[in-house]
Amino acid sequence: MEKKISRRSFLKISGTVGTGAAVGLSTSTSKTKAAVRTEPKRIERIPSVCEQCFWRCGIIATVEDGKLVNIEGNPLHPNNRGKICARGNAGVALVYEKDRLKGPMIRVGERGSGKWREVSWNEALDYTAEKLLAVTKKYGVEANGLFAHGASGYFATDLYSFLGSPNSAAPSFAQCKGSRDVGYELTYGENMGSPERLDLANAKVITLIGSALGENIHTGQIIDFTDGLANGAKVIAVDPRFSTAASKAKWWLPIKPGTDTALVLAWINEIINKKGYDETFVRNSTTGFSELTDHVKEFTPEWAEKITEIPANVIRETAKAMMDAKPAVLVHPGRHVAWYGNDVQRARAVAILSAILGIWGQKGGYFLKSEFPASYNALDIPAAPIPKRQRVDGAGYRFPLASTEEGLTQELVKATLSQKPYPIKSWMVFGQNIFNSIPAKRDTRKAIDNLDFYVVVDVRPTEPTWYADVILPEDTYLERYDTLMTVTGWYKQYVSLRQPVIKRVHNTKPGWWIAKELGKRLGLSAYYPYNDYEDVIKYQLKDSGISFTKLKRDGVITFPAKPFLEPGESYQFKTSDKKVHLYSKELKDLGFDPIPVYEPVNDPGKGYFRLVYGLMPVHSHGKTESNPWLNTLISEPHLWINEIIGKSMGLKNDEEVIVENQDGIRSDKIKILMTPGMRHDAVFLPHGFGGNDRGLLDYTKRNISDNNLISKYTVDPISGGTGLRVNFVRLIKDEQPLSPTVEVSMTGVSAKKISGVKQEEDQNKTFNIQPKKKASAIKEGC
Amino acid sequence: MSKYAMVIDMDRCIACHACEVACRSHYDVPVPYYRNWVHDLRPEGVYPDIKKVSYVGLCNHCDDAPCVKACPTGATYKRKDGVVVVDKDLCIGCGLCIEACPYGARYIDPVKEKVDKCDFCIDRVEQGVEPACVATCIASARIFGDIDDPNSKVSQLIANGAQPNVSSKVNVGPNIYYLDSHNHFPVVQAAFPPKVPNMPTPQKMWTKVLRPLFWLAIGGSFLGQLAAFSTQLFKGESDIKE
Repeated sequence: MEKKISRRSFLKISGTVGTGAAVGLSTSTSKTKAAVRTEPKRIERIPSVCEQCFWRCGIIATVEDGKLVNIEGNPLHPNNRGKICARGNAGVALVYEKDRLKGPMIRVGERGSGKWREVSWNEALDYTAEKLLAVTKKYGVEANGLFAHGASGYFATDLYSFLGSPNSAAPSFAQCKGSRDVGYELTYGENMGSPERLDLANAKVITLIGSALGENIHTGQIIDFTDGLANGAKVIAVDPRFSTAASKAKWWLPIKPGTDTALVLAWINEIINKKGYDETFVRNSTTGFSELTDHVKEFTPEWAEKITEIPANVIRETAKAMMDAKPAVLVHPGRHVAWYGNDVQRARAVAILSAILGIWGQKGGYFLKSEFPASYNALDIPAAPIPKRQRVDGAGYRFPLASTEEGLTQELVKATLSQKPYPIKSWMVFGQNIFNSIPAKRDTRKAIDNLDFYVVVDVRPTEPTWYADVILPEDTYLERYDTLMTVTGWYKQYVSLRQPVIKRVHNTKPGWWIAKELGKRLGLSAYYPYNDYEDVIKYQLKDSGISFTKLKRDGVITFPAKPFLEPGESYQFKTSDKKVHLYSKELKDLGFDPIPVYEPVNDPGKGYFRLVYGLMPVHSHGKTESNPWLNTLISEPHLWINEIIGKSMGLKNDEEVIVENQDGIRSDKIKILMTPGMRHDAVFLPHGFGGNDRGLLDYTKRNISDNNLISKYTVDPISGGTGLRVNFVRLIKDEQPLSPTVEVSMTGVSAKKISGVKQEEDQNKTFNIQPKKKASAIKEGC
Repeated sequence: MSKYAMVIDMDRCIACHACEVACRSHYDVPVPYYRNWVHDLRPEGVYPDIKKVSYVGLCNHCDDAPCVKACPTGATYKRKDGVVVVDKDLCIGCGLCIEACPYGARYIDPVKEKVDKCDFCIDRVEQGVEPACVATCIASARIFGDIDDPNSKVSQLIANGAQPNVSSKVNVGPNIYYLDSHNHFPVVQAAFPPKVPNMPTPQKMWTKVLRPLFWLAIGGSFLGQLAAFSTQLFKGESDIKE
């Protein structure tokens, strides 16, 4: 019997059987498919690397007669192992998204009037270069500021360093993982990198402190996390919200927001008191253990209970779970850690906890970085000039341990706003939504008024695009080459290649080309001795032993790694004395606490809630909201609020409220989600949804952005990282602020009525408030 | 002979929705319709026993499929390997099968005006490749296989307690099973019980099938349609034989 197979299914199947850039011809034989064609279709399967987020999974694109029809995971890629998330699958819809930037444009109306004219690339680039040179001539080259993000953002960062301006910044540091990296470098001499070097699959206990693992879909980590769960890993989820990770946890610790350092210090206290630490590792590979022991003496679980509202017995029980499972305890370092502006010290506390458990280079703990077996040729270009003036963001001096590679976005905004210490007169925003990533967006908006010139390079328009003087539309990641992506801190090492899988759909250009062409017009031709980036990659690989042809065909080339230490092997840490610094002399010398101290946080005050935020699994930051395949899954965020509190304010699920912060800044109407899975003193708003775009985009109808409400922030004095969880909000309905009429304790301890507020008789009954029961804080049975 | 089924491991699923988008991509499913779905429920319960549950669903490829019975043209039929499919050439888009389905697994493609639904990616399966939703599942929460083979993983998981979504009122032999060790499945069953099949009545047959056909006849092509219809009907029948 003849087997039926449709043309479309065939092309989608073929590469799953064997990967690679296979080209096949097929005609439709299936009558179950609508289109019966007379001419065969050209079907190509091309591997590349995803950029729907920064995780960079290997993908295989199926292209039918030049049209992208499907994307799937590349089974050869050791990170995502043939799987991709919703966003990765939806890359197809990104390419053909109607709201994309489709050609270069120069503004003709007032800035912010939304009037541009379409121009040629030559005209757009000439004009941009002319404006940047004018700023340079008048104010000095340092007056040109850059915000860059994403894989192609490196080209812009390079361009600005060739130009001689030190003022470039990326949100990946100050608004994301910067403080974590600094905390780990201070402790271990190296950071956890990206992808983080975590052996989740073999962990017996997984400790997640405010980690959105499961809602931030970092594919390789989710594969390992769910394998770990299936292998019996017990999860400790510390989160004011009942997250996806909490739903998989044995212990959900609904901690009072901002008190995590107290919890970690109490865990360290308990582990040291019970001698549950790794004695050999502590003796051989760390310094400062006696100082640490003295330091944490007073930080008992009882002390932490009062601060964190996590019962002492739960702190003891979870500490015991970690001690018993060590070294297979995966203490997750977190990723977005820009919470309170003292985040380096919290990251230090987490790093110290993981150190005394001895998990470095152990199965179920942290992977080691391996030595990459190949080296790439460097392009023969001049060294970048040393900038004549100090950077305006204070990285490296006002914030002594801030990254001078990634910089501090919010400080660049502040300097532009104040025009101090010296004028910043132009901005290039490259692949970044500066209104949705940098806090206090009103400052960002105002700073634009101080600019002589403002150019945006992006794939699709975002709110800041609206004010651009010039728009340079970039290819999607499916239409361009980017730099080689090399990963050494994983169970296998690999290099993967992003390459175009289709011809560009619109009049767009790749980031490397835009940087090169601007560079040439800025007198920097010596830095760009190539016409095609493919030639650069070929040259880089020429003497490396890595075949470009094979890399292009397979998308990734893997090498063995050495992720674990041999038994008895000691590790030379990359600190001054090759040891882990439990006590940091470096911090002491800079005038900071050498061992982390808990700093109390303010309470929101009556009627207010702390605003916390996070990711949804189907969206990436602010960049996927307009993707129709993703927007149909989640088109708007719901504000999470504790059920008892919400009911006491007379609210119903899906009812719309306005959210107003301490500065009187309001959202548009947001639907609420009431749940017992949210702490009583905080509300949660998913990140990445609409701002105030004026007519630019169809999908953003309402101002429901979390960042709109983050008008206040703190700055970590060590790293310069921002603290974004310091805003308090209240809910407004019918122009009246709502106030809870009950008090709730998350850990089931008590729920007392607020005196002076009129109470309903049957309130306890209605709200199902728990009886006083301490042990109830432990989430059993999962 | 094979009999295909799928197990959803609720302990592993993290509700990332990758399966939904992979399916949309593979079959050009127009927004807002879907062939498979993940419905996220609000976290509920009483602290500390809170549950955050998602309902992962698709066509159940029922043994006693109401959609097959409801279909007036034979377009919806059950293959010998258990897969319920729609022959697009025979489908007249009347939608009677949609009303009959207890799981809401079918939709009418507004452009093609034909009913569409999950077919277990049978084209892929026949090539030895997993269904698209299974292949992309990051959490490995979807397990596809042959329940006639007692050694298959699906058979073993069913032996270990994976259960179908049936109720005391509705049990039409579904072949999607749910594995759950945290009492999450009862939450799904309570929120999404199988609907009592709404089978065609003579009135519905008239308004949705016969009357449209009558107008087609007025259009002058009735005989041609009938001839094509009969031919395709036979072809369609023979195709399902292995």
